[in-house]
Amino acid sequence: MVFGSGGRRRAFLAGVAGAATATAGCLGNVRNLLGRQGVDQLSLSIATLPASEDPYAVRIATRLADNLRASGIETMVDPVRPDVLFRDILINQDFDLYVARYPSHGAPDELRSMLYSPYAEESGWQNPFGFTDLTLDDLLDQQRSTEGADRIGMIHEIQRRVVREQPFTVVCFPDHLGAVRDDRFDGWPPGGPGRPPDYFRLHRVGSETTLQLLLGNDRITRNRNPIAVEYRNQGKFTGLLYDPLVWPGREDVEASPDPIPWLARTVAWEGDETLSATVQVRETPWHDGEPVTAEDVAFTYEFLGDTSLGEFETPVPTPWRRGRVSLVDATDVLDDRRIRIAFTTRNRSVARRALVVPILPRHIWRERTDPADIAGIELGGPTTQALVASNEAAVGSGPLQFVDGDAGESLSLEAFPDHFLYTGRNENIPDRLSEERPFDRIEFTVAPSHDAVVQILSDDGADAAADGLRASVVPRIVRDDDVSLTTRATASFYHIGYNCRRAPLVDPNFRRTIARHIDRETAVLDSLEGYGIPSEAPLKGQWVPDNLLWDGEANLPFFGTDGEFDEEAAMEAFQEAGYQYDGDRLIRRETT
Amino acid sequence: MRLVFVVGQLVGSVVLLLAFTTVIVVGRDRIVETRREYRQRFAAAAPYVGLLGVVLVANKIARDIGPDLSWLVGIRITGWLERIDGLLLWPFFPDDTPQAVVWLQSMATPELTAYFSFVYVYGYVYLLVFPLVAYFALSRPEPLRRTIVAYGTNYLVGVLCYVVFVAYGPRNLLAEQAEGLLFSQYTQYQFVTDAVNHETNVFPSLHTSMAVTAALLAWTTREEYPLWVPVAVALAVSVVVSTMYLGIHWATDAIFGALLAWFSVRVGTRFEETPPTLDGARRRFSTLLSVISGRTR
Repeated sequence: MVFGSGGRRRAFLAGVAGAATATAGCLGNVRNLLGRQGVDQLSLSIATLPASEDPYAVRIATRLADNLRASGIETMVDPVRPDVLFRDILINQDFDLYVARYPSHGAPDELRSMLYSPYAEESGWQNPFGFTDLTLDDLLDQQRSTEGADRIGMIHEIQRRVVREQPFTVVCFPDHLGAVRDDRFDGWPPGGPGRPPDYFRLHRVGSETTLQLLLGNDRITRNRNPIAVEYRNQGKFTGLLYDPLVWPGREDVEASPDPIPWLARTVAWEGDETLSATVQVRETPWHDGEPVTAEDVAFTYEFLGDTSLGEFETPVPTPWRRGRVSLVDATDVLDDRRIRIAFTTRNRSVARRALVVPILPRHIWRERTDPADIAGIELGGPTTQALVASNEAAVGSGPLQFVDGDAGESLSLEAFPDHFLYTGRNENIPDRLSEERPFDRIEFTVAPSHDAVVQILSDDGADAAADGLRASVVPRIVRDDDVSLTTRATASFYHIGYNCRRAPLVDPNFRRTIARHIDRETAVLDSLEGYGIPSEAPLKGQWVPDNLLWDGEANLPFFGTDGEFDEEAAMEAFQEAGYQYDGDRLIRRETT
Repeated sequence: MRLVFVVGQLVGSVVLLLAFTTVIVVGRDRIVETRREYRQRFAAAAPYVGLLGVVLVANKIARDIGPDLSWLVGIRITGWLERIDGLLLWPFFPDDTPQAVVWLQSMATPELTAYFSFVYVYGYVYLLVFPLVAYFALSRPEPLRRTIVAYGTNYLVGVLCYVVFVAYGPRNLLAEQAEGLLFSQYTQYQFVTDAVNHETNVFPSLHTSMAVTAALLAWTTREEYPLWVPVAVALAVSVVVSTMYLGIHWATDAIFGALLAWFSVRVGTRFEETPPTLDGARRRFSTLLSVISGRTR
């Protein structure tokens, strides 16, 4: 927060004071006045992505900024490159407000990562807001050990509290728009390729064995570290290189979306009071030829819990997938192929989330526990090399291996012939995923824009867009008979994040009033061009309580109607919350 | 492949345009004379060309590491540019002042978009290259030297600003009101612009500064090439408008670009007799220091 003219005011007062002393006049009054701090217009900055990276986020941010300005708050939108933005928000915690997408998978337990008080000092998507609420903490812990209707009720209560306290404001769920050609490969899932198993559902039509995909952003070409939070969104691409124990099923593709045992050949659940699972690890090598063992699995959970492996005074947990790792209580290696994992929850569906983390090769990552430094100089803050490594030549156990890459331009991956999908050691994996090898190679090319993605597809230069596309290219896709539009609903949502560590954002009443500056219907209609659904709750379906189901009006309703902002109502609300105005400027005491 | 194709098309068209204007503007006599004297002319311009080479290499390096460096140490000014731009049209619309770029785009037609896209890519390259050809065909070396120094200054100052200031253009902030018309309508050009520039390099507009530089230089050679003056001015104005019309630059970027052009031409004129050298820079710097210390004493 920046306060502008305070210094000048003080200098002026100092001048007045000088004159007053010289005339030995009403010194007492001047001293009383000087002892008080000056006031200044409140100014806020909204960090977001530039339109070339995410047109929806910047549109929502500029609308919010316009309305806040009308309410007398000096507001500036600051578009920032993705890795810099996420470093600012998730690691340095240096922001006022931001507008971005939360990379959700729709699991209610994610709310615990987002809001759990003890996470406020950690980096990553866990509590970036610095929000603290003891009652909420209890609820977030309890929902992990309950099941059925009780748990649903608890999740409802958590969301009612979230909407009441507004640590963040949910705006909408965007649709994922994909564009594909099916003259070389078909069997594309709705929305185009998403999670790694989707790639193996493809079916080769012609003789071409290289799959050409277009990237809308270049993050995977620059950094392939599966736990570098500022470069990862949902880990779609690192998931091709690193295997988890289990992949969740896809609800929109299959009738019974059973989890797919992946690196785990079998998972045997045991216990009732304390839940644990014995995992049989498949026989498969790392990309460098070393065998994958149960030791690697045990190492991964220990390492993600503390990437310094005890070398630092305080643990340095992974900033990505932190919530999932926290579900593991202990691991016990039974033999080379078997490991028992004990969980901190009794709920099996929650515990299963812990099995979806990238398993890392111990012989490579155990060397990355040292403090991160630049040319031998350690930088402040608890950071290990594991968190800052760009890991360009990634060695995982995934079905694809790294071949070649050009930062900012392209990435080539090749099918890893020794992977269990291709060597017949594929028990319990649905046939559709393993009966054929649809491609030998994937070439990812970074396109300069989403318009360029569609142009290249039209020119037959690629098979599909690897990421979601912006709505403005839909007419171009529809005009071309060879390129098809495909969409799916997503669990990730646009939200306004508040830095609850900073005044006045620390005040829930202030946040609640800001939340009423955004019109969700207009945001979806204009900013998302209709491709999305408005929402006030962060979850979907059965997890949303009745009073938070979207019915055209939010519980914290927009000031105004049909997108027309009513600044008088907003100013009144700020005043009711205890804020003061000087004319039409919202003023606050200087804090510096 | 795509890039090669678009660049090939660009080079082909510009060479054709150049050949055509060279015959008309430069004239047969000068061409014949240049063919006779090209060795001496090269010799007279050689140190300057070397200088331009150094600048271009430095520029390439700076552009490669620039964006990363600039996010680390640079000042983020997108918000400020938007605020300043929002005030520029105040004298004309005191009640409800529109954003300069949004106002310009409100007049968009498909024909105008085609014209400005063409000018932004082809017209710009042509406007910059033609003076080099035309001034090489003059018997006195000063105009060519002036041009090279002015171009070099533009690049040096521009790249320095790109490191110090990080900003996105209007198409990246006012996404709902201002469209990146060039890239949504003529997507193929993006493969070229993306290869030579970075989207956070907006302040100041080098397109504007280089184009205005070419026009100012055209005025300094109005005696030799009277026909070139109106062409250069018309093209330069079009290029300046196109940077804003296409949503790539803020009006503020264009204004500072024009100031940079004026400064660069001054520098060019100053050094048309002797090329700027490191030694000279050091001398000037020590003079400056002694002047400052003399004053404070």
